[in-house]
Amino acid sequence: MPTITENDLIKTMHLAQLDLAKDMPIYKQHLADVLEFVAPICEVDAKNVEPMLYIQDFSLRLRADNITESNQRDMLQTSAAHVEDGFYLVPEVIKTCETEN
Amino acid sequence: MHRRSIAELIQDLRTKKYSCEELTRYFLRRIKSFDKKLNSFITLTEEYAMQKARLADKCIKQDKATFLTGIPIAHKDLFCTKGIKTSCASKMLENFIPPYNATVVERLEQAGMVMLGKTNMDEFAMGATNETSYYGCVHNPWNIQMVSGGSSGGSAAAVAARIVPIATGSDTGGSIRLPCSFCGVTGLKPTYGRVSRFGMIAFASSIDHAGLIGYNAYDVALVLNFIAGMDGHDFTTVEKPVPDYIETINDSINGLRIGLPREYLENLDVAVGLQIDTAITELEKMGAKVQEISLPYFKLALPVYAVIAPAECSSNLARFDGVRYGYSCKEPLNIEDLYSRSRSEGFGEEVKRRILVGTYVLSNKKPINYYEQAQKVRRLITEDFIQAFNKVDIILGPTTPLPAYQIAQQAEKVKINFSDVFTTASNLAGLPAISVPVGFVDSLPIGMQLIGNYFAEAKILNVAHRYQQVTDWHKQTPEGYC
Repeated sequence: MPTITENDLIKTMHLAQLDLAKDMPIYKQHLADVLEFVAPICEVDAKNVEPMLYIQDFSLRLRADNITESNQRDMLQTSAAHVEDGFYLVPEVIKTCETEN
Repeated sequence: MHRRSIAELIQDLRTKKYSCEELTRYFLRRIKSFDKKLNSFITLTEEYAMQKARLADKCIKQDKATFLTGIPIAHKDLFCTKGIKTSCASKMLENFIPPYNATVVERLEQAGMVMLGKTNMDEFAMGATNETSYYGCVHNPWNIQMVSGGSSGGSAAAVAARIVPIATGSDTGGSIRLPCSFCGVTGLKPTYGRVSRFGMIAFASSIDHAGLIGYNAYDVALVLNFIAGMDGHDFTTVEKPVPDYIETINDSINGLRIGLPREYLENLDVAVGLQIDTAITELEKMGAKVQEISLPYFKLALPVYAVIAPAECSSNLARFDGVRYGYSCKEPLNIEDLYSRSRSEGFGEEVKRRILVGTYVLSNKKPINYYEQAQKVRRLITEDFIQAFNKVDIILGPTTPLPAYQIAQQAEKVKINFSDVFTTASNLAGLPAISVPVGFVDSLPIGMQLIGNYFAEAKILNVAHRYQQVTDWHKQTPEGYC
């Protein structure tokens, strides 16, 4: 069973977009407990078993390539925290010379 | 009116014993009177309900009503309801107003049902006790010191207290059946693909199921008729025709082959076992034949679930980043801060734990590819059931290993984690399963679970109904709610 290091947890937190730094030991222990709990499934010899990706044996249904929805942007954006002229606003992502100065 | 089943309420409305408006007002009064103790509702939609009730009365007068017109219902607060807050019991969605109805909601609205409100649940359906809700825990109407069970705890408690005759629920690892067992009501998780998940806020997409909680199997069958069936919005729904679940509900069960897995009986609590034995005797009196079967991979269901559910939830909940909807943190320093603080402040502890586990198992594939291995073992668990259904028609067992326990019982987390031990496997396999009350242990209800083969909802509803015709556990009402 793999040991969880602090680096593992930091990397996982970053991927999960969660800031859990102040409770790191608690989450590290929780992750370790879960891995211990699930260890029995790793002992099963399932080399020749197909993963069960779908419950039903079906393929994706196709539909005619026709437009069925209308533009409802304004209505759909009413749930957003910050919008302007149809755009969702977020903190600056790309710094320009202007913003750096 | 609260002691009447849906079938009886329909009869009462058709014979004009009272109007839909009177019926709705009656249940709204009961909710306002009793829900302070239970905390089973997050949102009460009083004005909307009265409007729908008046419309229902008009439809009945004009002979344009369906079977369910005017019947009150509550929806678990993860089903999107157009224009009405849908919170998933989370701070993350505290102010979320969906712009559309979930298919389940839409079909029941079209059928003329009257929505009374949105029920409390574990946050994002993650939990088995209904203690993780941002809006506080749900109390069991049989003993308010006890948990209702989760995650559909609000729906189960509300039905048990008779403050709503039927409610929707969702079931990912047992979240309909477990609270039904704890609260002494009847709950059905259909076959995966039988009922649309469109508009049901996703937890783990390959094991989420939409279902129903009611007073009895007959009522559940009545409403299932309206929600089952293919949905163009959900490609995992199946084109298979929907039978009339009432047509066969009174069929004889003489000769029915019932399988009792030997793995269910190992270390089963004696008092719970006694109630199950008594239930089996009733079924045998009606001609059913019980035989022992084996589900060798049964014990791996919880570990498999402990990988698949968090993995899929970490993917589904990635959409909550403070940008397009949901909680957004104040004064973010930069884009990363916006994402991580919105999520860390918006989600509760259980949700964050599961996202963390899910992210870990999906991003660490060496030396062990947990998700792939879990999906392989999932197939082995499913094949156990398929083999069993070559010999038996249904599989029977307890829904939960024990009845409800005390709220905030932190010290016994192990017991809580194992509450789903009998329910989880049928989620992994996608099989239909129903929980019906079969008695009491320490003055608390306990349920029996019937698992059917794929799309055999009619069979398990039939068996549940026949059982309820010769017993009255489902008619019991907690003291103070009679």
